[in-house]
Amino acid sequence: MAPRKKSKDEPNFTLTRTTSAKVALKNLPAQKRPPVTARLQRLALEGCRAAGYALSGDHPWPHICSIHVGDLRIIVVFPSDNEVAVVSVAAHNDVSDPYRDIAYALNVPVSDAPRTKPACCDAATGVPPVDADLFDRLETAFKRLGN
Amino acid sequence: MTQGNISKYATAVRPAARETIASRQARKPAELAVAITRDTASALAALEAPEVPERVRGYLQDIVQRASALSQGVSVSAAAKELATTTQTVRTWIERGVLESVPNLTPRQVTVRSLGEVLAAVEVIRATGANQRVLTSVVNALEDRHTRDRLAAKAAEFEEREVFDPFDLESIYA
Repeated sequence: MAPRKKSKDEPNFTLTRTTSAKVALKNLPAQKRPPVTARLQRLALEGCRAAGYALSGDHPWPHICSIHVGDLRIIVVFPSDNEVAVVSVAAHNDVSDPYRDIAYALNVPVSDAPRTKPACCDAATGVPPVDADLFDRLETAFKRLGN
Repeated sequence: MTQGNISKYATAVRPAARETIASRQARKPAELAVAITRDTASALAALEAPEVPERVRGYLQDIVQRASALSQGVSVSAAAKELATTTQTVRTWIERGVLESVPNLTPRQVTVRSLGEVLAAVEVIRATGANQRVLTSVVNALEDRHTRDRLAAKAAEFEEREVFDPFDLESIYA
């Protein structure tokens, strides 16, 4: 049997998410859902090319990408070449700062590097900023905070 | 227990006992919330005292736990009065996470537990005659601690990641 031809809309990347992101999406107001859905679908099709910009600063910031959808930030990391993990979906405003939460969890300073907003994919190779350990570091950090 | 510690302990616990009587005398829910806030502040301060007997410690912890379970909050203006500060400062502290607001309530109310906690810290600072910078440090420390507590509550949520299908709306928003 000939291999099934891949549809042009067939996802190339596996999307995963934290429970926190799942809860945030569930609580998202109806009017904010269509643009978020569109961005998530693009993530599944295009990976880092649809992942906005890489954060500026020292490690691990450049391995974390942020997508703006109005005041929402969809924050993603790349555990592998073919997986996009949605870490957080949260507003960035006077009350909520998802970047500060991550900095606090990882015990790293909030980056004060100039915000150059480079593309999420590596400019030379086009590959995503994979960091297999980053998600685990977040997990460990949050566990430590719980002690 | 040394004589010095007994004296320190008695000084710390006495206001808690007095305020508990005050809260029993309060009648209106708003008055009761303020009275319980004072109880909570006194109990938290007393819990900091060294060598508090276990039985008393349990009693003080009960006061704090009851405050945590209270759905009635304290209005922003009453909170400002208790803290001897402005309503704007109270609102700023809510936004910074130093004070916690009762969810889904308009106008805003501050939870008795968080107000008691801040009140206890502020009273200690003011009693020592410390300046505004020290008070700011305490507020920053409380903000950090609340951020840490909030993130710790999220810890389990970050432990597992699940696959979802962005082309299936139910999968995304279920």
